[in-house]
Amino acid sequence: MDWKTVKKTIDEENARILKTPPEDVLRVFKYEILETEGGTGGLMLGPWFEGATASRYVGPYYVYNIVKLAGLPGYTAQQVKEMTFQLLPKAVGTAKLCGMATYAELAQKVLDCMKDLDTKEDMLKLLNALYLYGSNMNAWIHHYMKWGIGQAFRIPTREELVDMGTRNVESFV
Amino acid sequence: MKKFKMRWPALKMEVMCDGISENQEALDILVDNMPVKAIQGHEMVGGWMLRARAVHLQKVPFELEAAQMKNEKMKDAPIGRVSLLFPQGGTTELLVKYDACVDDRDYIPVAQVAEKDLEVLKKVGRLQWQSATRTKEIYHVEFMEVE
Amino acid sequence: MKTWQELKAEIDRESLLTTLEPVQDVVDVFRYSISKGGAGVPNDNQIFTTWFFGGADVNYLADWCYFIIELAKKENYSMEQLCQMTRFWIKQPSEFGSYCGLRKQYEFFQQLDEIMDGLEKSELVAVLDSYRSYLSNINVWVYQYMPWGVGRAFHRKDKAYYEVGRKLAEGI
Repeated sequence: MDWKTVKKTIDEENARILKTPPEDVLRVFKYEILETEGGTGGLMLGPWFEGATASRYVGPYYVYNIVKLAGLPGYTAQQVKEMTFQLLPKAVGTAKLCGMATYAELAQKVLDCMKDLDTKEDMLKLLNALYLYGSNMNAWIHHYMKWGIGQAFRIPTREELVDMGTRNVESFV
Repeated sequence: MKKFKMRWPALKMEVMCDGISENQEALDILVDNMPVKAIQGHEMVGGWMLRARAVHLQKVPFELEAAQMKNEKMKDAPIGRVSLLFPQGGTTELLVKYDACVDDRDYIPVAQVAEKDLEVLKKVGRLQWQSATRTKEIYHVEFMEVE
Repeated sequence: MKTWQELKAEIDRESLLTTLEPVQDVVDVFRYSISKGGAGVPNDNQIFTTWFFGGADVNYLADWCYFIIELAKKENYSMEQLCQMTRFWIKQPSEFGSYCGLRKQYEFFQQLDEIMDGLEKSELVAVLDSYRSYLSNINVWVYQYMPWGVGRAFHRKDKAYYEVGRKLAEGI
């Protein structure tokens, strides 16, 4: 596939999800549907924890950091390619298993195109498109993640911790 | 081909692991580092797999290039498959498939739990799953070369 | 300032201590729900987001080390570049991890940061390899203490589930 076509696809998908929740995110994070059947034992916390993190890392961490370095003098097109092939695959694989099918597919297309690109300029155009898309995906995932779970895990104060210590004799175990 | 044992002392269970035709050099390095002890964990996304997230290689560093090794998707591997993830220098992760899994990510297969021990492996897996999701019991896993 | 050998030895000692015994920072945050740096306090005073972000980042910190070591094997990466990559890639998540209460790993990184520019490639790789071992231990204990069982309240759903639900909702 030609890199400009891939970039156009990413840009179009990016424009679409700016105000419309991505279907993959709705499936996994809102409706607890996972077509890959990931989530050992059917438990969704694993795919949420690992999927959200992998998705956050592909774009906003890995691609962002590659782009940042690529902007510095001394980093060659070859190095940009090498860094991309080194950093992305594992996290893309996890994002895919955790249900972010479109994101993983687009990231894989970027990896496939990168093999044939020779100039930093073309690479950065493609990578920046993926970075923006990844940032949007990150935003949607964190919008739908069920943070209310946190209400079950309150932070104890120092006074409470000290008091807890004095109450240890009351424990059955 | 080298053989080793995986043992869980708290469970009084152990399984024998045989080398396979793939990645023999990788298995050699793993075995040359034995005996090794680690904390047993469980895979939370890909399916029924034991996962030891920090297996330390303190005698012989893992210096094989990633490109030298053959990969396998865990979902395609037989039950009992022992595989490495990101082995490098002094550390690797080690996974053992003990029942069905959907994990389509690449791992480095190095060994196979003996057929006769697959039921024991499954029992260990189920107990580790209970630990991960309910009891939080800490299980050590020991890796020992078998001559 | 420590030498790289002293730093590596200290990290290796800590790795050895925490291979079969819990990392204290992880016990503090994941077992006792203590907010050490204030993370989670402004967010409804809950520790879950600290677990979710801080705990997850540690696994990826270990992977950053892996990547730098792999790239360092290639001839076309200068020591200056590897130091830049180490600072760009590791510093922020490591510092964030410290804010989340995983302090020791950031202390190690800060010490590496101080001496990095004077190292040879093989010396940087040696320290990163040890650092990765320690980070892997943190990851082990994060996964040990994370309350995965909560996931039983959020079980994967299928088509049949929603079809039944839809029928039941028809009267609403």
